[in-house]
Amino acid sequence: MAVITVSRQFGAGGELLAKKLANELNFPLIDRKAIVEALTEMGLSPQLLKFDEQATKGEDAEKRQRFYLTALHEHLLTLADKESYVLVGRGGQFLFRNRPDAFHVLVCAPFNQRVQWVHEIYNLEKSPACLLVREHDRRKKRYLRQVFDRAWLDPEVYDLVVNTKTLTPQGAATLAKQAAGSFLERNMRDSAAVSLRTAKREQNIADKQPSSFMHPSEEEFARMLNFYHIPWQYEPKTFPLQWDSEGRVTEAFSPDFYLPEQNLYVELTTQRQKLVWKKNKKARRLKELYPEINVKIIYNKDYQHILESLGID
Amino acid sequence: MSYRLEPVLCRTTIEERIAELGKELSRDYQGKQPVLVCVLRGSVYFAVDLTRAITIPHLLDFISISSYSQETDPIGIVRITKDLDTPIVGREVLIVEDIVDTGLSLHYLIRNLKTRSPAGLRVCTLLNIPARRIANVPIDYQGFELPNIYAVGYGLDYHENYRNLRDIFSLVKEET
Repeated sequence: MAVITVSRQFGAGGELLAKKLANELNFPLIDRKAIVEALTEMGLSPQLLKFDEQATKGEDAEKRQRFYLTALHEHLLTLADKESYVLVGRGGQFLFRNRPDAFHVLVCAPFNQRVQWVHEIYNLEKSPACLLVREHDRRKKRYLRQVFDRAWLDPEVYDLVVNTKTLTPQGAATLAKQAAGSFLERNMRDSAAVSLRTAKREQNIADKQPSSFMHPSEEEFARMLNFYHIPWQYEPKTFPLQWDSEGRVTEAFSPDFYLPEQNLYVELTTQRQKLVWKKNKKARRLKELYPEINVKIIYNKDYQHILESLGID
Repeated sequence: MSYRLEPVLCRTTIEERIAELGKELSRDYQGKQPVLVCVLRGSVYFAVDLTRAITIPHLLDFISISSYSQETDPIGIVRITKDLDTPIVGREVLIVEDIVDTGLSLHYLIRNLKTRSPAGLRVCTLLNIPARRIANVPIDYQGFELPNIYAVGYGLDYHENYRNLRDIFSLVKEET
């Protein structure tokens, strides 16, 4: 997955660039409208939505803002695990700063140019246009300082900084598309990213087929992983363990789950402790033949411990 | 099904280890005024004693997250049921846990707190049971590493029982 974040100075044409970029890359555009829709669907009250990109003052407002931001950030991070998208604003450059699959664009223009554009587009006199640009600059600076404690115009934060005065918003969009395209290509070549993407895709398929679980405890385990946002795949791979003289596989092991983020295979066994020797033997053989594979057997007793620790019998 | 309690860690051993952890944390966080994030409810007992063993200025705050239950609807996801009262942006944060076993809830908590841009985020747990680990989570400070047992006492419960015991026991099921 990839996230292209577009940060913009007010009046520099960032929204236009983001829209064009999303269109050209065929990625969904996550802007204020999309965020409001998603968070409303999650049940967030309209009173909280007013904290979008707004700095706050006062203990009560800060508390409610934190609540809003937690929901927003969780939503954006979860979405990024599922699909690629272009994000406008919301401090995306800081939220995704450590993700190798994120590309950060800053769209800026000199103050006078932005005033000029605001004057033309909003049909405002020069003086109120000037006031509006100044206000927005101040507000954005305060918001990003309050939420992420970062200076937002630091060029080191960004992979691409474009000045729309000379490039024009259209020209900047073309340039951003080229830069993001080459980044995405490199990202695609990264084999780890490819395998992670495959894993996520398979997980989505598995998500949709809960009825194919072999045992109710597996379905429950999958629900528990979903609850804690742990991506998983159900029986994604079979490891041959023994072959006959003609090279046919005579024994194999397909662990129940693979957790790509943990790089861990998990085998759940609901058999009684006395009867698990066969599975232990398979796990030992797996370790011998595939030492790089991490596999964990969760015995019935362990599984009951996990459920009991959650207050479930 | 009946149960018996087998002693694992007595109060003196726990007290001594917490004193050592307090010293270690006081040294590591000197001049940093960390925010200790106590994860409700089991960690309260440990967090209170730990703060008494820390000699540098710090702040104690509480957080609570929902835990998985079988009644959870199929799309149910973990959420914060009691959030911190303190903003942690730019602060050194230490998550205080009573026990880390599967690591599932801690994994979520770390991910959630990281989005608030703390200056640093570490984990201190009284008990660590790596044999039950499912999610990779970093443990920076630990009181004791235990084998795969069901621990109760000193905040750890079994169906809300045994939290108030001063010592830590292993809850052993006796087949009848």
